[in-house]
Amino acid sequence: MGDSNPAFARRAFYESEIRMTPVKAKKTAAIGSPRPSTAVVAQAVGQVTFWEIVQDKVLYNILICTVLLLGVGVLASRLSFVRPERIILDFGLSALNISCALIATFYGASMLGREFDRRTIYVALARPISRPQFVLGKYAGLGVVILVNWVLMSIAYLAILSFTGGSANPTLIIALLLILMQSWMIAGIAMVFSSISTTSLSVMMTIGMYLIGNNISQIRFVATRVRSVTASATLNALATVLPNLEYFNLDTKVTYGLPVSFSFWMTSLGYGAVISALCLLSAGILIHWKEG
Amino acid sequence: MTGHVLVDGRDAMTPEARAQVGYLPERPYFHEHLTGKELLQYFGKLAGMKRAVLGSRINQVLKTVGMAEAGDLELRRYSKGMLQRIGIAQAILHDPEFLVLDEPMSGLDPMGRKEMRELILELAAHGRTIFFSSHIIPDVEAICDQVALLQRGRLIGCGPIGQFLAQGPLQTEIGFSGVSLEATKKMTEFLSVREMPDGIRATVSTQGIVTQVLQKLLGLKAQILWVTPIRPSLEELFTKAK
Repeated sequence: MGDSNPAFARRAFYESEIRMTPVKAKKTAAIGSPRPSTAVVAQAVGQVTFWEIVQDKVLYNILICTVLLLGVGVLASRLSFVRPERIILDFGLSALNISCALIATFYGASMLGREFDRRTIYVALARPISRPQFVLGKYAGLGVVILVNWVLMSIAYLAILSFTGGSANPTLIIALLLILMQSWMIAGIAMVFSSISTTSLSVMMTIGMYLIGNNISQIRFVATRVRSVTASATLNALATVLPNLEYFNLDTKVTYGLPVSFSFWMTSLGYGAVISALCLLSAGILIHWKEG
Repeated sequence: MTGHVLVDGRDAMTPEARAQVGYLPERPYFHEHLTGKELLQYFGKLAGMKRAVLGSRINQVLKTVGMAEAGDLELRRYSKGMLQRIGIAQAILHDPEFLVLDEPMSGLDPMGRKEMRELILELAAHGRTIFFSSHIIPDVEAICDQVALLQRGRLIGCGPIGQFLAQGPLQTEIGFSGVSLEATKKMTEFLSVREMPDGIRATVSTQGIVTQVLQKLLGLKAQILWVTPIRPSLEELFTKAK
């Protein structure tokens, strides 16, 4: 503080707040709404997110890989003498599963991080919207991308199946529905990681969660075999707390066309919806915390 | 630095407060795949604007920022200046009472800076309160009515800009020809003397002696080219305050 500027010196230690008096401020309200509805915000954010992903090259790489996997399934079935349609059934289902899971993982994990890195989130959050509304919009956009991919790949898969002599039994349709719900759930999990970590770490953690989630029964099995009571209790607690993706995996039931009870697949869908909602809520809270 | 921000008496974090604020960040990055109009539609919806109002309002703000022709162009094709303009457009779209512009002139060429300055002054003339943040002090001097100077996160001064500019000595610069450099240097009233191709430029310390110096120069048959008062700039005051 220079001595030549006493006005500065006087203010330097006593000013605790800046009061900028509006010189010519209007008294009219802004033409927007102080509380836009969640549906409007989700639609606006979702639409931008959807087109952003659709224009991304990584998406097309994933789609090409899926089509190649379906093709490999057809080729492999030609080499088999016993029930070749089963090979197409298994290969196709796996390809669809991997395709939807990859889209959910890569885009879910990069979604919020990219918004922070590019600073686009700050302009959006300067509007009168809440963090959970914004997260819901991002999720909605990704969810629609997964849905479109699922529809297209399912059509291709079912077409290949029918051309090679297979048929779409009710169990297969339920399995497809469960793959869709599982992918939506993975997208939610990836977004939670994305709200607190970098993209690469989020991808790794989501893949880890996917692998663990598909082996929850193995964790419970290990818990029965370990001698330590603490380790057993910890493993059981983990198996209870971590998202159980085995609810979405029908395995041999699809291959052999075994019936699936209505209560099982409805419970699985409900479980997926609840976990997804919890993930979105957590991501909304976490980005609020991250900003602070 | 901690503190509490109120907008029109409301906590700045509340939706009601944010509905009254338009924000342009430094180095704005928007979704490049959108066109100018799509971007404004996006931010209009986030501001809760009705669809019926939004279309006409978008055309209006694009015209205001001089981007009416570029509304259908994708943002990846925009220049730095165009991005700043579309940034201003999204900030004023919902007709907020307060505008927060963070370094709106950074990266702009001289013409772009001039146009941006004129746009900001025009927005202010239409009744908006603008919170303008900049490291370029001459820009602040040219635009702001009130200033707050921050140094290393501490407030070192706040008030009407005139209060700052009235501080310090007021000098006067006199440009003249027809008198030799040697004769000029003999005049003790001058603080500084500099020779130019078409004459001499000299400064006097106070306004009180300007008339006396002018009479003396006219007595030496000098031709007076200009007489300009020089007030201290905000930049000088800021430098002295360091």
